[in-house]
Amino acid sequence: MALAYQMVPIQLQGLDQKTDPFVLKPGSLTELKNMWMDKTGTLRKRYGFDDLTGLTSDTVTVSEWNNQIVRWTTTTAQIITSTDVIATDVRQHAGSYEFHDIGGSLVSSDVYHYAEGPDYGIFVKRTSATTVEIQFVDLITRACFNSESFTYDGAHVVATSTGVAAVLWTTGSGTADMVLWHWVGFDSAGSPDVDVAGGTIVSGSLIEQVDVVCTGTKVCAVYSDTTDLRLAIATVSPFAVDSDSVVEAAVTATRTAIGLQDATQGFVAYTQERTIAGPAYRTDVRYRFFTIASGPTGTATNLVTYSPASLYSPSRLTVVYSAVTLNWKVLFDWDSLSPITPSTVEVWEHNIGTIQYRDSNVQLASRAFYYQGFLCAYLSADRPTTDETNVSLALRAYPDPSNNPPWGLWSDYLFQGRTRPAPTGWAMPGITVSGTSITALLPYSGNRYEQAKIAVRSAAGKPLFGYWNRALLHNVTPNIMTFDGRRTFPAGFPTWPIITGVSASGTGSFTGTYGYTAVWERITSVTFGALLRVSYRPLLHRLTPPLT
Amino acid sequence: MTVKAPPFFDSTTDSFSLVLYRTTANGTIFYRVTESAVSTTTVTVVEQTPDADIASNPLLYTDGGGLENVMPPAVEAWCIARDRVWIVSAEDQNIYPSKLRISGEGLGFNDALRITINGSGDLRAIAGMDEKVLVFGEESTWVIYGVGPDDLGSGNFENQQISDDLGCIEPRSIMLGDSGLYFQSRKGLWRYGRDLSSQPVGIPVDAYRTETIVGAMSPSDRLAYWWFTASGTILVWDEYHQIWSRFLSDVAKGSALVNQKPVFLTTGGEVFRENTSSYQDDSGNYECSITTGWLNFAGVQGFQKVRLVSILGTSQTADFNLVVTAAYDHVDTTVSTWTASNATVKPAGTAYRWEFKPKRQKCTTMRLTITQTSAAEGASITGLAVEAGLIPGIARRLKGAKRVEGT
Repeated sequence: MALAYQMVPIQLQGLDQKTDPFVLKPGSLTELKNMWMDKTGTLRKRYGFDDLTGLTSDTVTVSEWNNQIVRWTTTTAQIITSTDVIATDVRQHAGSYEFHDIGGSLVSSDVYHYAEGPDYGIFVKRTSATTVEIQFVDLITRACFNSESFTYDGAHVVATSTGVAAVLWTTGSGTADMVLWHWVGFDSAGSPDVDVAGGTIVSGSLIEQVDVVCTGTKVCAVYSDTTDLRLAIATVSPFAVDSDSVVEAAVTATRTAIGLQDATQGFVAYTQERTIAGPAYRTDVRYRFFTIASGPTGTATNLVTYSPASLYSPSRLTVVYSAVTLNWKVLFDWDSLSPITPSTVEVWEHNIGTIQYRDSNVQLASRAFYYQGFLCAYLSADRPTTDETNVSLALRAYPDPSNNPPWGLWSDYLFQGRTRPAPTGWAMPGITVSGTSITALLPYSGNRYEQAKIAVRSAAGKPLFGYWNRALLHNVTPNIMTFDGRRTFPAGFPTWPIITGVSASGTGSFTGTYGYTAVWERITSVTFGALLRVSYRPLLHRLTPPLT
Repeated sequence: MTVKAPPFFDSTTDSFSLVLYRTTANGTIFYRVTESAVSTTTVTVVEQTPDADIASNPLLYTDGGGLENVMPPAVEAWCIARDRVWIVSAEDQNIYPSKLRISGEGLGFNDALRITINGSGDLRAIAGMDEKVLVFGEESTWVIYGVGPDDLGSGNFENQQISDDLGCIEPRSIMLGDSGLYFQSRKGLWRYGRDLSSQPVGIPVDAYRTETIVGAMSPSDRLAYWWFTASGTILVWDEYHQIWSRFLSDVAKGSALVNQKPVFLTTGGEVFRENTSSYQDDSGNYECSITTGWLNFAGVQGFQKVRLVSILGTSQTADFNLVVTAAYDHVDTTVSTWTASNATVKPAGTAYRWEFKPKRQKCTTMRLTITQTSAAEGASITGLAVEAGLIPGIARRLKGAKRVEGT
């Protein structure tokens, strides 16, 4: 019998990868790739994607602004359609490598800034009245490493009178060098740097815990060579090592700080692990003065005994210490103490809070620092055990001690957060401070940051950068940003005005009691930000004492 | 009066003003009196305005009971809804709606507006839909409703749990569409309808349930919703036609919708933008294809003879090249291949119908794959049709299958 044929129409449907293909309805598809349904029933090839940046491959994120695509690299922000570099002020904000604008060096009419870069290098930026040049200086190409096995541990970059200098050192097994390299110019094409000079300050030692300061012509570096704590002083240009002296013998410093009063003298400070009875992890904090001409002077002296500490010293030495009660001391105030001698050291001490911890394993964060004029420190850093699920950290900021006592709580925290899920390993919350920038990352597991929900970065009042799951975010407002994985928005001010003085003068007709409130207003147009692109006016205020 | 300027002040980019509010003698109401541009680290204000001259000045925003602006906590997730910004605190998992948004002013938060959801556990995402705000845990959902407090703190929100097994695991997956709120749950891509009914819209693409979604967007000219995944697949939901498709391109790590054009950033750091005039990715051809299920016109275990296959569509461009392959009887191996080039179809812009006779016609099932790889759009596909005859009886034994006799 002849077979009866019939026409079976198949109306195309969409992708269905859940239904077993054996029983899939005729129109449903097990694959619908790169096609979309235009009119009902008709599948068309999707549109293509253009690579907008050609050969570039350094974009770290994209955002939308004014119906244009903004491409962010580590150094620039560009509107892709035009390849124009966005305004200089925005460009300075771009990237995860913030230029240290405050620490810039004025050379003629140009200002040099620097930023730590990836792959063992730094970015150097020269800003003139009309141009901004940025170049990456690959330190490896400087051939400064002569150790077969080394771990690059960062660069200390300081402004000099003629450019920017970086003091490099290597750590690891075997010998290592501490090297000074000096940049005094750019070439016109922005290709590799020119006018590089430098040399070895110290060689043949395992060099650690370096901190560097520069008078303009002299670079002073405190370092530990595993045997002694030493101070090296070198002339920038032409390069010459002036001295390399012992600050304190037989000291293994765990942290160092160095500061200058002026072009002739300064101090070094360091933590020394206890060698007497007591928990091994506790340390003393010690300091010693030096002069540029002759090196260390006087004797090393204890500032704080038997306390783990964090040191910070741009122009004064600040010590944060204690495992239970978080205190800080300001050792020097160069503005008011001159000339300095050990006998004129003024020590301010202030208890800034009590650490909140769950168990006896609490650890202080590794650093305290000044941020936006405030002393900040972790107040809480719970050390998780295997059965703990949350790790929290917090910063508490206090007014700049230069405002003199009484001090008070300025802001509860700059940020706080936790990990999710619980880390399987433990490391202290990471925080780096560079100039006025802070970068904070939450605890991580192994070598990977896990769910770093909130971490902020700010530089010199510039945008706060957020990280989310290790993805870098960019925003351009000086306000706190929040982020949900897609977008961010600014939220208020990070601080509010503080009244440092109120007085009545003259006679006039004012009688009675007057109250005051100071309010910050910022009328601005947020040019980059995922949400707010209009002028807005955040308001925060602080009441002042009444004036009678 | 000397006021310390914020250290974050940058005179080159910022324009802060310090505004002083002052009471009258023995008064309690603060009036705006001076505004000083901030150009140094401290601002000294000399205020001598007679009381009578300030009585008509603007009042401090907290006078009259207005809530002071305070910093919100660190944020786990946030959304905009109901004229407020809503944040989920990463610190205490409470929800902080902002004060009502006022045009021209920054957002303000105050702890008095905090909402605590008892038993919520860890919250992952928050999103607004109509008059509601949905708060997601990883396996739970709450809805917040009500007018809420005004900027004086009067009023409140109510909240109610609407699911204890459905939540959101990726805030970047959330997208509000015409039919409701889409989100990635542990069960895949789901949707809360406008009536808060839950709908498993992503079931057809359940294979991508565990993909990391790095961005979501809705190009409004297509009534479609796109989810960029970390594997290079873009899941596309056509809400109007109720169909899923997937686009394959470079692996994305972020996305943005710019001028209604999808833009995404590849893990290689390149920026890709959709070009509606092009059918190439970065000057390279990409394949588009459809694959049917196992076509069995005689039923799941029936037997059939397919003697003609017809494809109907439109020749969008003249240089297309269609390749059709056929597999049979649940075996993936391609048995037959037919190719249609521009020499065999209608000119561009006209309909075409292309039919071919399979060399193998008797089968239990037949599966067709239609593929195009060209620099141009090629042909659209509107429908398939087959001429099939049903052979009585159960299917012949499948290749490789064994017959097991019962008793």
